[in-house]
Amino acid sequence: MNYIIFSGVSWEAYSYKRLLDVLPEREDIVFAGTMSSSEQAESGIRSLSLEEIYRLPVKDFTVLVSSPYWLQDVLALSPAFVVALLEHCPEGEDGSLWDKYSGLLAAQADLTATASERLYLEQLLSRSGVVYLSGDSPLSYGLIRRGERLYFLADYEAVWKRALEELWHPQDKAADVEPWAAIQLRHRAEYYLSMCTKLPKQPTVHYLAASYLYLLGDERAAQLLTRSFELMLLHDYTDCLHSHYRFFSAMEAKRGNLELAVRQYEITAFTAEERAVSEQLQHWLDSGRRELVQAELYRLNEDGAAAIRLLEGAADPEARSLLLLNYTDTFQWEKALRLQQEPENTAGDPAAAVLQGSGAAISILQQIPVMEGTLYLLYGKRHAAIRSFLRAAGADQGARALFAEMADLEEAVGRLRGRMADDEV
Amino acid sequence: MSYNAEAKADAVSPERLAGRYSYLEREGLLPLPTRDGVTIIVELAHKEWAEECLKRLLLYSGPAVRLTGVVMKEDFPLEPLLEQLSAETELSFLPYERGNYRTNEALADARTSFVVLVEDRVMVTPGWLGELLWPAIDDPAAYVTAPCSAAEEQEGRAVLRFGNDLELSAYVNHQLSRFRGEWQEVQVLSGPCLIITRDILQRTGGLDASLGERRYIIADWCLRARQLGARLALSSASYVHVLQPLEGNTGYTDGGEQAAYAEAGRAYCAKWGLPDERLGEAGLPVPGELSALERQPAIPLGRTAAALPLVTAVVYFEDKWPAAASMQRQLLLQAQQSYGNIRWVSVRDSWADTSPDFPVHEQDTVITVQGEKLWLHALESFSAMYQSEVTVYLSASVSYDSEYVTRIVKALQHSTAALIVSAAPGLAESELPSYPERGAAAVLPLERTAHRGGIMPGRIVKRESSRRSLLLCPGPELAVGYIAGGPASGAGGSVNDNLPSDGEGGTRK
Repeated sequence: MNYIIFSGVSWEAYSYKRLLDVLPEREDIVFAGTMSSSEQAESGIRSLSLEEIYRLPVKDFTVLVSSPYWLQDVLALSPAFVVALLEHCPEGEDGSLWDKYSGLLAAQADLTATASERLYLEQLLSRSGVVYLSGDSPLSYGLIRRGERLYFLADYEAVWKRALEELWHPQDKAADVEPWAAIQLRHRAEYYLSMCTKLPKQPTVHYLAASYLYLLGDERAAQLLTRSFELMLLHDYTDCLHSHYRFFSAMEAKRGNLELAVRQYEITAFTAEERAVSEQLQHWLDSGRRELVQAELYRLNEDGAAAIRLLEGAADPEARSLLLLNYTDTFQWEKALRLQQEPENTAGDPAAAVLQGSGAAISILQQIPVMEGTLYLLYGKRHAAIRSFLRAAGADQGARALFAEMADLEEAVGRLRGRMADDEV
Repeated sequence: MSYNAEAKADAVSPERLAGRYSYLEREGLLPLPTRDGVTIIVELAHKEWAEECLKRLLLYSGPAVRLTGVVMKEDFPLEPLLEQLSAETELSFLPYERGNYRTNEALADARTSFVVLVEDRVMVTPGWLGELLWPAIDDPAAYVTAPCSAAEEQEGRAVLRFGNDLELSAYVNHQLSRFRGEWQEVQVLSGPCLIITRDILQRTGGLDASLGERRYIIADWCLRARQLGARLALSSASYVHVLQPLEGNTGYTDGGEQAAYAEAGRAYCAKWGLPDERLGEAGLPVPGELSALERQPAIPLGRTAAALPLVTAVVYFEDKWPAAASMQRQLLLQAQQSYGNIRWVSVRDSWADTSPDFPVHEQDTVITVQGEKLWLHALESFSAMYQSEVTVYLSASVSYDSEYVTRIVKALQHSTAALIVSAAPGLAESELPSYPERGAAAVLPLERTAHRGGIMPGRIVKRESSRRSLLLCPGPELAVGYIAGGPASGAGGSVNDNLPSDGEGGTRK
C-alpha cells in the first residue's frame, strides 16, 4: 500500500514515526515536506513538495493527515483513503478553529486515529471507525516483517494495522471475526476494570470503565457508573448530576428501559430548555414514538454516533429532523446537506427542529448555509462560500464573524504551507 | 612467554573461555549437547504468525533439529506453509483431524533424546536452544525445562515489550550473559515452550487432551512427570517472546470461550483434587503433596483409541432372529470393524426379538422396548440419549467391510454435512441410483446412514418391500453428504447366506 503523510510539523518533530514502521503492506511512502537524504534512507520514506504530490497517481495512495489545515489539499487530491490523526490544538493555534476543522477532517476521513484518550472517547461518540493510538498492555499482539527487520506490535499497533488493512480489504461481514473497534474497546474496558480493583476509591477510573462498558453494550456499565457517582458524592463533588447521573439515562435507553431513562433525564433537567426537552421526551413516550425517545436520549448524552445508527433506519417522519441535528453536531455536514435537499424531507420540517443542549437555540435553517459555505471553502470554491455566508448572515451583521473565520483558516493554511516551504529552503 | 605470564593467563581464563563459548553459541557454531539432535513439535494455530515462527526455529535452532508442525485448528490454512517451506526437508506436518489430538502422535514419533513442544506464537532468537538442554545434563532428574516468557507461570513469567527483533536479541543476550547456566526448580510449568527428555516422555505418556485448554494440559503433564520423580527446571537465562492474539480471552469476555476455559480449569482441579476456588489464585494451583496423591495413569502416546472420536454404532434387527444367530451376528459385526473407539448399542423390540441378553462390554448398551412404534422411536431419538461424535446405524441384515466406520468418520471430519450416506459396496458415490440429488432432502437407507452427534436425524420409517428395511427421512435443515461404498469383493453388501430368510425370520407387524 502507498501512503502520503501530511504533517503539521517537520519530519524531525513528527511523532508517528513508529506507526509508519508498522504500516501494513508498505510500499511507496511519501512525506509532504523536506527530509534529509539520511532521514530518507533510514526511514525508507521519500519526501516530496506539494506540487510533486499533486502529480502522483493519488488514487493509489492513502493519506495520513495530522493537521486539519491540510483538509483543503486532501479533498482536492481525492486519494483512495483518508486517515485523520487527531491531536489537541497545538500552542499558538486558535483552539475553536482547530477543533472545528479537526471535526470536519474526522467526518471526511475513512478512518480516524488519535493518541489522546479524551479525543478517542469524543470521536467514539461521534462516529465509528476510531483507533486509539496508545495502550497500557505490555504484551506483543502481532508482528510485521519489513526486509530484515521484524517489528513486534503493541495492542494498539495491531489494531492500527488491522484497521488500515480493512480499508483496502474490507472484512467479510459474514465472517465470524470480532471487529477491531470492539477489540480495542474491550482492551480499554479491561484496563479500567483492573484499575478499579487497584483504585477502588477513584471515581474517574470507575467512570471511564463505565464509559467503555457502555460503548460495548455491557450491562455492567450501570454498576460502575453507580460506584463512580457514589464516590463523587463521597468526595463532595456534588456537581455531578449532569456529568454522571445523566449518563444513566443513556445506559437505560440502550437497554430499552425508556420510561426510566426519561425519568432519569428529567432529574438532571434544570434550565427551561432542558425542561422543555424533558416534556418533549415524555410526549413522544406517551405517543409510542420510542425510537425518537431513544435517539434523543443518546444525543442529549452526546452520543451522536448511537443516535445516528438508530435514526438512519428509523421510520418515524420526525426521525429525519433529529438525524439532521445529529449530523450537524458530529460535523457530518455533507450528509446533513444531502438530507436537507431530499424531497421527502418536507414530511418533517427541519426548520422546526431546534439545536438544543448547547444553550442558545439556533434554527437549523440558519445553520445550513454556514455548513454549505464551509464545505464550499474546503472544496476551494471561495466565491460560492462567500455567497453562502452572506445568505446565512441575512440582514444582520453576522457575516463579519464568518468572513473573519474564513480569513483565519486561510491564514492557518498559509502558515502550514509556509512552514513546509521553509523546510525546503 | 614467561611462567608468570602463563599463570596470569590461566587466572583469567574462565571468563575468557566463557566469553568465547558465548560467542560460539551466539553465532550458532556450537553443536547442541545431544548426540541424536532435537525434535521440535510446533503446535500450529495462528495463521498469521506460524510461518515466521517456523522460519525462526529452522534458522536459529542449529542443524541437528527436526520439526513437526501439528495443525491444531480446523480452519488453519496449511497450504501456504507447504508452499513457502517446501524446500525445508527437516520439516513435516500433521494436518488437522477432527477429534484427534495429534500432538500425542507427533510426540510418539519423536526419536531424539530431547523433544521440544512449542506454540507457533513463540519467537526465538539465535542460540536459544542450547541453554535449555543443559539442565537435563546438569541434573539427571531435571527432565523438563522451560524458558521464561510472558505466558509462563509465576517465577517464569516475564512480561516485556520489544519494538523489534533487535531489541529482543539484545535483551536475550544480556540475560544469557548474566544468568548463563542458572536454573531453578519449580512446582509447575504451563507455558508455550517446553523441553522434555524422551525418557520422561515415554514414562509419563502423552498429553491429556480431555482437559481442553493448553495451559491445563501442559500443567497436568508436568505434574504427572513430577509424580514419576522428574524435576521441573526454569531456565533463568532463557527467554522466548510470545505473541498474544488480539482477540485473546483475558478473562473479561462473557462468551463461550471463557466458559470453556473455566470448565477446563475445573476439570484440572477435579483431576488433581484441588478446590475450584483456588483457580482464582494468582498462579496455577498445584497440589501441595504430589507424592500423597494416587499416581495418575499414563496417557498412551500416539494414535490411541481415546484420541479417536467416539462412534456409537446402533445395531438394529429388522427381522425376528433366532437367539444364537442374533448373538453371533452382533459379535461378528463388532469384530469386523477396525475402528478403535466404538460404543455398541443394540436396539431391540422385545416382542420381535427372541435373543437372550448377550454379554456386552462396559460401555456398550442394549435397549429393549416393546412394540414397533416404540422401537422406531428409540432409534429416532437415540442421539439425544447417548452423546457421541458420530452415530452409525448398522442393520443386522447387511454386511459391512472392516473399514466402514472408519470411512464414515473420516468423511464427517472432512465435510460439513450432518448426515453421511455410503453407497453400496463397489459403487462410487456418483453411482448412487436412488439419490441423485446431492444435498437435497431425500429418503435415506438407514443401514448405510450415519450422522453427527448432537442432532436429531429425522424420522425413521419402514420401507415396504421384500427386504422390509428401514428408511430415514432427514430433517430439511440437515445437509446430506454421499460417499463411495467399500470394496466390492468379499463383503457383498447383501444378506449373507447365514442370515435368516424371510420365511425363517418372520416379519414385524
